[in-house]
Amino acid sequence: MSLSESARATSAAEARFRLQAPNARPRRLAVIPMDEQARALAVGLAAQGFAHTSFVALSESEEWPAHLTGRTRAVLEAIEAAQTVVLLATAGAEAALAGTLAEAARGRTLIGLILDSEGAAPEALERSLAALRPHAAMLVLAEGRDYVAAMLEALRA
Amino acid sequence: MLRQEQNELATRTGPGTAMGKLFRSYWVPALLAEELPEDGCPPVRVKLLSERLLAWRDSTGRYGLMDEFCAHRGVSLWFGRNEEGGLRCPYHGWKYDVTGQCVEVPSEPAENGFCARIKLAAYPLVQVGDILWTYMGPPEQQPPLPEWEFARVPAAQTFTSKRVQECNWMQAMEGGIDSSHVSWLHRGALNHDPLFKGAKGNQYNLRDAKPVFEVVEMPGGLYIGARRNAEDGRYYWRITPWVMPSFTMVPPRGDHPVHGHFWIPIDDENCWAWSFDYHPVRALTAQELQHMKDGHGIHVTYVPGSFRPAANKDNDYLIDRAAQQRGDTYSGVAGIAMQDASLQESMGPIVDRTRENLVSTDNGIIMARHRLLRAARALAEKGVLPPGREAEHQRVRSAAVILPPDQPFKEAAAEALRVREGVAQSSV
Repeated sequence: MSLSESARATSAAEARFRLQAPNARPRRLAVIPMDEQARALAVGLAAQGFAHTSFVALSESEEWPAHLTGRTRAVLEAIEAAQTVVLLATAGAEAALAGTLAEAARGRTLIGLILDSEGAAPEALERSLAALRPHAAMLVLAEGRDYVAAMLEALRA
Repeated sequence: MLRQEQNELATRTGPGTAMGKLFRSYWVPALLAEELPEDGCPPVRVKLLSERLLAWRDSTGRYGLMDEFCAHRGVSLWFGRNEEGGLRCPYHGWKYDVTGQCVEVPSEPAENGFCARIKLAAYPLVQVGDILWTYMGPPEQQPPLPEWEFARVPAAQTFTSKRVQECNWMQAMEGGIDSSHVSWLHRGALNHDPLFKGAKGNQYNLRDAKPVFEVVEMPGGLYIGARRNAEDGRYYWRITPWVMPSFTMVPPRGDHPVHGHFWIPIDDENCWAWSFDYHPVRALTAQELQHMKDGHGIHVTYVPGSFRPAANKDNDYLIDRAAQQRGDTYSGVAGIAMQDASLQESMGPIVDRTRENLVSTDNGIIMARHRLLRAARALAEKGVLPPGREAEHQRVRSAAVILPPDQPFKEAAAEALRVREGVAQSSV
């Protein structure tokens, strides 16, 4: 009996003939921390060399996000260059600027990432959730922080 | 995407591999209890995690799962004679008990101790619910028996089937946590499938084909919530739990039975797709059972005498292009299970994840991979036992609920997401 089209095409032998030419051009991501702890994490991630990601350069002041105003241009440029914008917040963060950033990111996919959710007080989680949920096309509540790098790599950042 | 070495780590589950060690940390479904229906019945060949095994039930009712091949000359013991508390190789009469211990070598004097030195590798095989489960890891690390609710409710309340899927376990499992494909591939099923139709919640699905997703980590795995608008500013949530390494439950619809899956590697290019339906508080009706046996819902019909789906790669999954054009089915393949399987098998035996371009809605898949790889490395490198072994992690439910807009669903639906004895599933 001759093989069906599907039986032949799904064999391991046929997998060798799949095209290896690139099937996508690089995308850009913008990662914007929403609080000081997230900022510290972003600084570390930036050093890992995600070539297609802008980690918005934030003030080194302890008063984040009060200094955001002065960084508006850098934030907007990062968003404008990106197809996907990631708002990074630790559980409990007010993330008060999420709406403003989402407005700037209109037309781009917005991912909200809430870190350290494991063991966070419900009201703290609700606070961050309330700020991000209305704007995020995808919201992730991660127990710790190691997921951020895994996600960026998976998204070819 | 995954790097090639990550893809190798994730997809290889044979002896000695990191992911193989992870799977060998759990009780996994080995075969349906009905496959060994009575004491002294014929043995059944079972391949699991790239190991060729033989399942059998001796004349006293004890279950065994052991190396398929006789230690003498390598004959398959599938040809063995199941007699008087042991399985005897028909070639030269060597006899084994359910622990794999050789108990008789006719050609050797009983008193010389030869047969005591012969023992086949064997694993425990235990019935819980409709399933015979095995644990293939180190005996000293054997976890408690499975506590999944579908396997613990009375027999009249549960139905389990299995089918061979001809691709790596992980690409099959990823379909179970890829909630965003449902609005495309399975559209139509909500109106027509007897095990889905009629639920009020279906209206929310049909009104809104673009749900918003939230992925929430939990100790045993993940919850994946799909959110749609409901009345009065509230949200209709469909919440899918994924518990390590490969258990998922589909959110319920109305009072229909709740269903879910396990994906268990046969070898690196084939897996078992286990599918269960159960109701927490009532017996399945005769009609529901018949629908399941007829291949509705998440079940399939078979090539007679096998667990291979009747629609399979050898007949191009019985694809019906006219039905596709008419919109009866979105892909032209009938039935939810084979709609999934046909596309997952089309990726090839082991999909090359280095060429993927994942998007934001793939975060459930990304998180599951992350958890699996992290746990496999921790086990292989530091001996840290993975999540999902504890009863607490297994006593989960899926849920379909309506919640206020500002609440974390894991907390707001916490009761609905836990097994509650004598309480029905939370469904809309």
